[in-house]
Amino acid sequence: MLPQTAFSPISSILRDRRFALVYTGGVGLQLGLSALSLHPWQCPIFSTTGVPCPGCGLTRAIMLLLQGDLRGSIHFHAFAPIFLFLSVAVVAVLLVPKTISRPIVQKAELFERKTGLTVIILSGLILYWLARLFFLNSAFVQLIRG
Amino acid sequence: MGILALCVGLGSLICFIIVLIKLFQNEGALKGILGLICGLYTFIWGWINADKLGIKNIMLIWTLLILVQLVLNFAFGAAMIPYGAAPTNVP
Repeated sequence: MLPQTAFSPISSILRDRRFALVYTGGVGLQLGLSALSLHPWQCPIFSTTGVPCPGCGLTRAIMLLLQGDLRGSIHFHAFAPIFLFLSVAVVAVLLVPKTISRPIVQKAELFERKTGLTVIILSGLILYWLARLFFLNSAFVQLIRG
Repeated sequence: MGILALCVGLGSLICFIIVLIKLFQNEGALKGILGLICGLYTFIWGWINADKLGIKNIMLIWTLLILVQLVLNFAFGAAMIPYGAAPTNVP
């Protein structure tokens, strides 16, 4: 039996403050290491098989987005703005008191369930990845490899 | 050294796949896909549910492999990574 949060994965992250805190720390560390030119955590799929996963390029894309280079960011990963927005939302939920964040998260969950937005985004992401992998394979691999 | 990096990467990949399967089984397809996209999500989820799912040993091994990978990358640079990516601040 799947939990109720199976169909609203994003709002379940926002609701779980402990998860959100650890996740924010992890993302911060990843971006921090990358900003210092230290090799951040590598994708286990790409580093072993040479095949980029759906999330490959996101770190660099988000870094470029934070530097104001939208075009460069989209070139690395078109979904970077969405992931940056979600990361900011997670941080915002952590900073705001529970009494304020709880109703917002509840509304977000209702919105997520009603619209199926997460399904649309994740489906789009998988299709985007498959298109890059099958139609732009060498360019995609070269882009990720650097 | 390259073989060491490959072994560490392979071990890390196996641990990732094991935890990802658990994620799919316990949380459904949407969170599973999210875990596939973002390995960090899978890693954190694995640790939070390690005791409940009995995967603490897998998580300990995975964490150790990630640390070894980080140390190898830091000490020997991008040459350590079999198919690794360039530094992320390259324009």
